Amino acid sequence: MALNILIVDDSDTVRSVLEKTLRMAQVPLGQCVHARNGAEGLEKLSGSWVDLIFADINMPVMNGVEMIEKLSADGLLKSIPVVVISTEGSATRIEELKKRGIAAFLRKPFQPMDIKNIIDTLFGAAHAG
Amino acid sequence: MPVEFAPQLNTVFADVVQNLAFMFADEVPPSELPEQAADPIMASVAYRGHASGTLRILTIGAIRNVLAANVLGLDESDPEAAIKGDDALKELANVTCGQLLTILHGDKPVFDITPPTLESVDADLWRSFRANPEVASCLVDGTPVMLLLEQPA
Repeated sequence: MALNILIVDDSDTVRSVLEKTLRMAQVPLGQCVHARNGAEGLEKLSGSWVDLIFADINMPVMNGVEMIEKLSADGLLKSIPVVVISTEGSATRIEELKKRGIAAFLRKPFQPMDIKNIIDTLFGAAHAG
Repeated sequence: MPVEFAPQLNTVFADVVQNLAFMFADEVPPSELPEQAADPIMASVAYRGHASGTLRILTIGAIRNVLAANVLGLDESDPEAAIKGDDALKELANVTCGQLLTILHGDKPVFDITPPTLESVDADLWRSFRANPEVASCLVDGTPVMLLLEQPA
């Protein structure tokens, strides 16, 4: 079954590379929606349902933590798994994010196998290609 | 930045360039870089927390198109390549800073890293970087790059 995915990052480069990496990992992609910050991500979600969200942390307008908090407060949206992709290296901060309920954390730069393993863990091998 | 950290800066940057841009960085001393550069540009990423400072990456504008081609698969002559390449260079700086902070300070401290910026700079700055013993430098597929970690005294 194709996955609809939302990618939230202020870098065009990261969004493009991540979508390309998802395809290289042979993840069956349905819609791949892009957003430049947390606020835009929430706006996109008001119009499209997604199965998975990849989100950066350090973004202007609304950062990833604020977006995750708003998702958690929404009865419907809180069920969408969120994978944080960040340059963040602090184990302390990663632990804080996990306490906020993120599904996984991926540190930049990432490899196709990292993406494949996360999809496999979250959705089963059938989706991981 | 103490001179002894320059090798670590080169190592981290080389790893990031290879993983993110599929390019290779060869360490060279600043004295082997051109004395002058056409269209020098500088990406900067500031951080604060356990320690504070700014990572600066000084290079030449032509690297934009090469990055766009390598990272995004655009043709180097594509009119969008320079714009996309700007973003790619900023992301390179962003990821290098994050990785470097872990190398220098371990994985416990928390840092706030600001969004990277990119600006054109003048020949004087190029020369001052080249003469600075704290600068790490390399050639990325032949393109000169200088890196400096500025920390408050």
